[in-house]
This record gives sequence, C-alpha cells and structure tokens, in this order.
Amino acid sequence: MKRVQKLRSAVLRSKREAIGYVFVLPIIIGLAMIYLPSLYRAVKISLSEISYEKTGMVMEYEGLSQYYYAFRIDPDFVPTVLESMRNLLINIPTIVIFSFFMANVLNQKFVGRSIARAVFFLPVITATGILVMAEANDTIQMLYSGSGKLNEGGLSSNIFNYESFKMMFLNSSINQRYISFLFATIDRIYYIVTSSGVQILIFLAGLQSIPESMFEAAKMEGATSWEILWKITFPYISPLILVSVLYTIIETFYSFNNPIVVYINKYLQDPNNFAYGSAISLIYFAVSAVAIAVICLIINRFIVYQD
Amino acid sequence: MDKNRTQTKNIGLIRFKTKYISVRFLGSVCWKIIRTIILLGLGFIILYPIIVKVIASFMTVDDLIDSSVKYFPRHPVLDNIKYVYYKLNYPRSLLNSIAFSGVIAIAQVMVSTFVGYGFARFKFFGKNIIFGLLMLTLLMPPQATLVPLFLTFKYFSIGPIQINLLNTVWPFIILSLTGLNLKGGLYIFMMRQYYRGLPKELEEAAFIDGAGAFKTFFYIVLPNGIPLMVTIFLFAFTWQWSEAIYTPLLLPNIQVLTRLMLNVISPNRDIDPAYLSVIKNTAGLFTIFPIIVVYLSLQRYFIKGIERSGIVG
Repeated sequence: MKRVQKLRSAVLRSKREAIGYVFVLPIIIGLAMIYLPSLYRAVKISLSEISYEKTGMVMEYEGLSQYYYAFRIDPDFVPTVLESMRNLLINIPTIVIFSFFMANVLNQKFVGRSIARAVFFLPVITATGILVMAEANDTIQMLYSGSGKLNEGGLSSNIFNYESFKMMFLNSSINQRYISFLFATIDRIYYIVTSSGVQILIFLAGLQSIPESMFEAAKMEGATSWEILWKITFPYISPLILVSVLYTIIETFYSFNNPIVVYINKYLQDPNNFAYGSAISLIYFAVSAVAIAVICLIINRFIVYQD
Repeated sequence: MDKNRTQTKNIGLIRFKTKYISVRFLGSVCWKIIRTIILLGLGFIILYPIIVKVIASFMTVDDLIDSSVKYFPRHPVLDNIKYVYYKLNYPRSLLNSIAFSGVIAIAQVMVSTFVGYGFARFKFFGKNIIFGLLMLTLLMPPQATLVPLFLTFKYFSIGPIQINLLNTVWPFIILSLTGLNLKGGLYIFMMRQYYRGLPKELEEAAFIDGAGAFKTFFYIVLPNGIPLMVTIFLFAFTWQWSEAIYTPLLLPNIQVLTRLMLNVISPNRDIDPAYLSVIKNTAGLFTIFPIIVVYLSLQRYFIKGIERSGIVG
C-alpha cells in the first residue's frame, strides 16, 4: 500500500515536472536552436578571417589573431573599454542615489504629483533607441543645451554662458580635481535624469510597499526623519538597489551614449570587419560580466533580506 | 471680563506662534520650496529637448544661425514638417509601426506570461540553469550576437529546406516567441516575480476541483496577471517602436518609422549640417509624438503595473 502511494506521488511529481517543461518550452527551443548556436557562431567568427569571393563569404580559421589585434595593436579599443567602464562606475552610484532621492520626493504628497510622476517617467519613452541616436551630436540640441557652439557664432555672443562660467572656475585657485568632478556631474545631469525613469519607478513601488505602521511606530518612539530613513526605509529598499543597479547596467548595453557600443557598432556594420567586431563585442561581454559579478558581490553585503 | 478676553487673545497668539514660528514649520516650508525648485528644474531638463524639437521644426536655417533668434523663429515655416511628413511616408509608416510593434508586443506578452508561470510554479531538472542562461541573454550586449543572428536567419533551415527569412517579419516573431527579442528576458523575469507573489491557494483550490495545470493557468492565473500584462505590453510596444539595433539589419526594407527615420537622419554630403539637424529634430518629433500620446493616455497602467509587479520582491 505504502509502495503504491509512493509510486503514485512519484508519477504525479514527474507529470508535474513534465508540465513545467511544457511551460518553459519556448525558452528551451530559443536557447537551443537560436541563441546558443548564435553564440557559438559569434565565437567562431571572432576566431577567423572573413573574405568575400564570387561564391559568397569565406571564413578561414585564424586563431586568436583578432583578439591579439584588439589588445596589442588597436590603439582605440582598450582605452574605449576603460572609458566606458569608468563611466559605468560613475553612473551607477549617481543614478541609483538620484533615483532613490527622486522616488522619496515623488512619494510625498503635493499638488501636481501625478503630473510630476508622468514627466519623470517620460524619458523611458523619449530617450531610447533611435531617438538617443538622433540626439547624440545633434547641432541644435547641443546649441540649445549650451554645451556646444555653432560655427557661425550662435551662443558665443553670450558672455554669461555655461562654458565661460566653467572656464572661470577651472582657472580659479580652488582645487581643480573637485571642480572638474563637479562640472562632470553637471554635464551628466541630463543623462542621469533621462536614464533613471525605470529605477525611480522601482524605488517608488518599493517605498509604497513599506507598511505605514512601521513609520508610525518609529515616530511614536521619537525617531527623527533622518533616523527613519536609515533605520526603516533603507533596509526595506535595499534589495531593490541590486535590481536597479542591474537594470542600469543592462540599459548601458543598448545605449548609443556608451562609447564602446558606438565603437563596436562601427565594426559590426562594416562587412569586411565584422570578425573583428564580433571579437571585441565578446571581449566587452566578458569584461562586463566580470564587472557585474564584482558589483553584485559588493552590493549583496549591504542588502538586508527579509527572510 | 476684560482680563478674560486678553487671556484668550494671548492663547490664540501663543498657538499661532507655536504653529507657524517653530523650527519644524520653517524647515518644512524650506523643504517645500526646495522640492518645488528641484521638480520644476528637473522637469524642465526632461521636457527641454522635446520643446527644442518643436521649435526647431518650425525654423529655417537662417533663423538657426541668427543669434538674435532663440525660442521664437522669426520666419516660422511649415516646410520642414512637410518635408519630413513626405520623407517618413507618414500615415502609412505610422500604421505599419503600430501594427509591427503591436504584433511583436503581443507575442512577447504571451510568451512572458506562459514562461514566467513555468519558472514561478514548477520544479524541474535544470530549471536554474535555463533561468541563468535566460538572464545571460539579457546581460549580453545585443551587438555580440547580431551578426550570427543575421546568418541564422539568412540560412534558416527547417529540416532539409533552407529559407532566407531576412526582410520578412518572421525573424522578429521567432525571436519574440522564444523570449529572445530585445529585453525579452526582462519581461519573463517581471512575470515570474509577479506570479511568485500571488497566493498559491487559488490554484490549489482549482486543482482539487479537478482542473489540470493548463486549465488552471488559463482560467485562474491568466486573468490575475492582466494588470502586469498591460504594463509589459506597453513597455514592449514602446521599446520596439524606437528600437534601432535589430531592425536595420534583419528587416532593412520595412516601412516603419524608425527605419525611415534612419534614412532621413543619416549624414549626407549634399545636405547642409544645420539643415540636417533641423530635419533630424523634426523627424524625432514625428516618431515620438504618437508614443507620447499613447503614454499619456495609459500612464497609470505603467505605474500601477510596476507597483503590482514582483520587481519589488
């Protein structure tokens, strides 16, 4: 009797397991038939030299020469990777802190709150894909944002423009490093504001999931707002910091603001060079995978999990 | 009598003082002012490029170079708008874009619901590995597999038959249905987290009443997931709308807005760079505008959906 029961539960379990496979079948097919073969192909392409003949494309095995070229000969690749990693390291904390702050602000009650939320989420739509591509290095947008000049002398007639203001400070006796960091942040404001829409929303949702009774209890005990922020809000929110950091990193892969993406695209779009393009994009993937792992490990130490 | 009146007056004054001339009140007023400045300033930063686009679309090149003209073009013209309207093949490409992004978004929603439920509620061998690989597709720069995907679809083979799927919608439908399209992994992740947060009791009740796993899914689970499905649809729709990584390579001849916009904005030796910039901004406006309308009318679904989704954990 017991054996029958055991057998029956085993059959049930394996049936349920089979149903589980049916549910994720699309992904299994996609990974096995399209994604992994594509990845394999990308590695293979990056290990070869491509030439075109009348019969079509010819691939010749070349070994690691593309990789050698990337690290040893190409003068631009390594500096571009380093630059985009440096940008990433500056952008992640600024975006996360900014969006945490904005989520707190947008969570307060004030007139026009829903309009403010709509505006802050707008960049998720207006600052993606082709629109960023069109805006990058665009003359009019640069002219109006004041960080560039039109050759015919559009903005330079203005004495009190941002550039001259910046030069004044850079020439002053205050420590140059702080000043240039400050201005680098100011230059980034647009980028940071436009790329933190989803993160603001994530934090906002997190803030609303904190039980109101927590705040009430803390207030009754005489906690100041500052203490409430660190002792209640922050521990509740901390798992979301990892989510928004990961989201920020993923976004940079798609962003045309990222110098390495532009650099890789340049090679991938050129049929004669796409072996090299594949090689450098795989290198970039490896580098960013390591970066992501390190960042996750560091952040995980500060997260407070509920269970 | 008289004494009494002065006393009540004093109490009123003291109340007034303690309420309005305290540090806390002053602090909150200061904070309100700072908050308003921050919100207005940052809101302006976000809206500014769009305002600039609107201004630019009415400008002639002369106005642009003229330093005395800043926000109000001296000779407002409709030529740019007409030119872009014609070049973008407007009413037609707009409909194409809606249909194309719509079909793909629907496919992505279907798959993420289905697969997300599978990851959330079932235990099976290799689940973590499959999920890990799925997350890997998200963390992989799309450029890395772009060319191989191109080759896969150029020499797409079902058994012995080989078909060239480039320049058809099929690559996108296949990618969406297998969760590999742009950010497909993210949607599956959102759905999975959402289902993990739903109480199991409903499904158990349905199971005890004799419904199979699929019946439970379609009658119990699916209706519960509709708010998040709307959100994912909107995300997928807008991101597909402005997507410019896969489309140019896999579907070079499709008449959607992004594709035509790429033609219009590409640098050309015959066009004055200032004029090109005017055209770029006008074209950007034409591409953004429909999606802003959609967003503003459905805005609460975006925000509500995220609040309900399990991203929050």
